[in-house]
Amino acid sequence: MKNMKISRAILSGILVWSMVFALFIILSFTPVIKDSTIQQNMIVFIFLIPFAAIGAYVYYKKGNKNTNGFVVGLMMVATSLFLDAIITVPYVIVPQGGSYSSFFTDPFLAIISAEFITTIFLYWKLKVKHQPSQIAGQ
Amino acid sequence: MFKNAINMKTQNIILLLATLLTGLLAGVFFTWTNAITPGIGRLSDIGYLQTFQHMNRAILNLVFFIVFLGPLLFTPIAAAFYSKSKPKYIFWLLIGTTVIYGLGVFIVTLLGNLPLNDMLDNTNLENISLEDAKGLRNSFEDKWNNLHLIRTITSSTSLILLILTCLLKKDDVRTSINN
Repeated sequence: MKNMKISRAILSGILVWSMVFALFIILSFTPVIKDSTIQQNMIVFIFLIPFAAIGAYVYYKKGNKNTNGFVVGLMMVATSLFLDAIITVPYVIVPQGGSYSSFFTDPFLAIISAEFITTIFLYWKLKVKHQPSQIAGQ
Repeated sequence: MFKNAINMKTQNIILLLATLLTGLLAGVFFTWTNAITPGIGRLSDIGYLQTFQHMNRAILNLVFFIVFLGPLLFTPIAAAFYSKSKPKYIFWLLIGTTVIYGLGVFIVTLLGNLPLNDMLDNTNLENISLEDAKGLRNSFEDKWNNLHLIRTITSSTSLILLILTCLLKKDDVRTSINN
């Protein structure tokens, strides 16, 4: 945590949040899908895997490779949830009749957040932690 | 060797999670095909529609979402972990499982069963006439059951492939680490 590049983690979190937000906007205009929250959430679940991988790539490209992916994932999720609190809920959810409570207690939010962190962690495990250059240098 | 053990543990855990969640979902789908839909199929039109509507709403919970979506996360990631392993067919087994589950379970649900569920969910059944109930059931039941049969078969096939993977994989698969 000490050597973690927090600003880079926040930047990566903003990047992933932007991609997910854009996807939700696109889906809200897509015929058939736009009327079903569950279908939208399922599609976002699929796309979040490559989005999170991109976010992890951006972080670890110049971030500290020894920072545990779980910690990086937590920081990125925290960033995304913060952006949801200040942008998504007041400007998208509330106008549609929702609330902070309905948004943050939605089970899909918990699933997507867990998926986000898991993907970042496993990316770190697979692509960063066990690179040959890392092992050779140890 | 300790670091290898840690890495093996991660990929084994992922494979175990993928297999467990796929097994649970295949079990759910099998039970619906084998007992639930034939059972409620014997109800009257209104009884069938009300029962199905309640079950559709009840199943939308956190645990089911984890069981349904989990394999889509863990199976391809398991494939990524085994991408450099030997024998190579382990990787392709996992890729094949991902494709079968993705198309046969996820896409069929997304584009087939979910729209039917939404159609039923958006219908007020409290004051529905017998004629409208019969029409709604006719437009729902057979289509839903056929789509669900596809999901049952493909989820079971995915489970079989994952079990095969568990049996055929070798523990010392990260040869790149061992070098």
